[in-house]
Amino acid sequence: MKIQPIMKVRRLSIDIPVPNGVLHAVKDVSFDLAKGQTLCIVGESGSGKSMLALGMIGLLPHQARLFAEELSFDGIDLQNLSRAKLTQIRGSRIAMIFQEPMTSLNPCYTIGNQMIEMASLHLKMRRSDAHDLAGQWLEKVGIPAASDRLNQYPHQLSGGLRQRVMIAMMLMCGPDLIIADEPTTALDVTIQAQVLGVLASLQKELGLSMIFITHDLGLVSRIADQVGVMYAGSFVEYGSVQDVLDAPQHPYTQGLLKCIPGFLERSTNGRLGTIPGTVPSLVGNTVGCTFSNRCFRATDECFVGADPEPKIAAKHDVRCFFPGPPSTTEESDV
Amino acid sequence: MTASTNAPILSVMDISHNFISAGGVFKKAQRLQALRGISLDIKSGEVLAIVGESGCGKTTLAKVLMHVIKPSRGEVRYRGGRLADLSATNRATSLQAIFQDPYSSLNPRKTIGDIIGLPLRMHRQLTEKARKEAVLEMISRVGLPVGFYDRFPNQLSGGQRQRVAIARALILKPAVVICDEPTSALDVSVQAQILNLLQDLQAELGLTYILISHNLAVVEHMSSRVAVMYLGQIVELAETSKLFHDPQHPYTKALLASVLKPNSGGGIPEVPLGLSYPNALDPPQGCSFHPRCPVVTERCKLEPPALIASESGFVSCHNF
Repeated sequence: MKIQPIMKVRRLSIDIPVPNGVLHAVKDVSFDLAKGQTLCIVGESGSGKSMLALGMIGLLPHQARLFAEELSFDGIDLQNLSRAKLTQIRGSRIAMIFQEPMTSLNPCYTIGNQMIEMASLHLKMRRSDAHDLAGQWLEKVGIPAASDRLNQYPHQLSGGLRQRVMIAMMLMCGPDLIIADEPTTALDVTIQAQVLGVLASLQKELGLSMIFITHDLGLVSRIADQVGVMYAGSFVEYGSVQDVLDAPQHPYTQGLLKCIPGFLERSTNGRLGTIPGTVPSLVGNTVGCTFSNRCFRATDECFVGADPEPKIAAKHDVRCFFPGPPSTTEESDV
Repeated sequence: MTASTNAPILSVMDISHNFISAGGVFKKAQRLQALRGISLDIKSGEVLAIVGESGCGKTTLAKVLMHVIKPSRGEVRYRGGRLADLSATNRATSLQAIFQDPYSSLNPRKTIGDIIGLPLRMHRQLTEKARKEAVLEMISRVGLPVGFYDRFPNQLSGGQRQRVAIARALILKPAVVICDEPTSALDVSVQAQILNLLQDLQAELGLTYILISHNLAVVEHMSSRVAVMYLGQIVELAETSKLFHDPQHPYTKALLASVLKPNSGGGIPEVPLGLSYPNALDPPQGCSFHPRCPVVTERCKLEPPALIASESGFVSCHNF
């Protein structure tokens, strides 16, 4: 049975003009996200993961340009939507949650005020009804004494509670898709686990789809159905969480996993693996595979010609000329 | 890790520290007990990790060790003598620190050579020529090209800057290096390089590290002993493998349970902890962990637990 994807992206690219040329922030990203599923986008700083998220919901900086063969949400073409229509979808059907809740909440208004504003804007509710709804949602995300919290200001809450408020606020309008950009990076591990627990159980209960951006691969392994590994603007590896994390085929994914303490079996000398070299500049046109300058497997073919073509809509897409499990020589090299 | 000798290189003896918040017309001055009676021996050549949630006093403890803060009570001893009695130069050649954010810890208007050489100039060590040689040697030792001598911090990546910070900390050849979240601002691939460098330097120079981190995977990888802090106190101290495989204190158990270890499709673990971190201005009576503790008893609400010796350290819990 083919499930209709809630979010369909085909060959999405984002270019940003900079003084010395054009920066290709995102290149040829494609994926399908089915209803109720979670896609995790992982990558290091500057890999383009936040740009991709902003691009999907039309919140790019104004000088950035987005091209895509298809960018649709629940059958609606997001590329050619009027500003007003897009604003309507954002917030009510697609909700966003960002890393630092303190910068997303207005410090001058109470939690209740801000939640009521959301509800009256998107759900066209009366204030008193919105107030009750806000209280109910605060309880759902596990905030004790919810009705008292409504009268508090953001600074009176701890980081974990603030992020719960953000979750309650974005879920109260009944979205179908949540885009979360590193929502728990600023939190302590104990609080992170609690906040993610709330998010995961509500996602299941309400059948929400989620796009989760993070650099924490341990977290990805716990919540993802699909994983896209981003490097220099492209999905270098994309597939199910089992395919990508348990049997990675791209040398970058393999290198990344080796860098993380405790991810793979500890190597005999107790050292972590590293990826030599640095990320190439994304300005101008690149020649060959973007990872070739750091890759153990690179041959002449990788340095010339085009980037490996994406296999669009493949179950497990590896953008590499020589995909496969790491060879023994590579293992001993690091 | 290198073998530890028995004599402690650094002893923390019953340290307490209070911060007094300024009162005003409408507000009474308040006392925040950041550290509450901490005692700890750090052995030469070991990596002692200090873990705990934000606000538990990890960084205050580091500042006391670096003599940046004078504690309200207690003292720090370095090789048996009072740290406070040492001259500034002797302290600087004994203890150095590496901080979290290499973007704010390097002066943007100085060259890398100036930054790394500053401790030598400050403490009037070596002639100018020998200083430059020492700096160049240190630059290559931390894995940077010597050509970086004349560069400025803004020309360097985050990982390279952290290498500069490490070079600056090691230029005076200290015995103890305090690493306060040395990799939390870095990407995982860069973090791996920095952790490997720290391990190599420890083996080459016989350093002792105090590693402050909230990343438990890093702690398990790097340290030989771990102290778990909660609300200004150490609630458990144990050898790393003991602590990670058989935690004793309910807080340590909850902390370890919250770590999202790789497990494809494993879901989010249930964390047996109450909601919020307590208010440090008004710590709970009895055991300070009792409002969040899953195995709390009446006794915990009344009397604070003593430190009970365990197999490789101690635990502070009535139910141990």
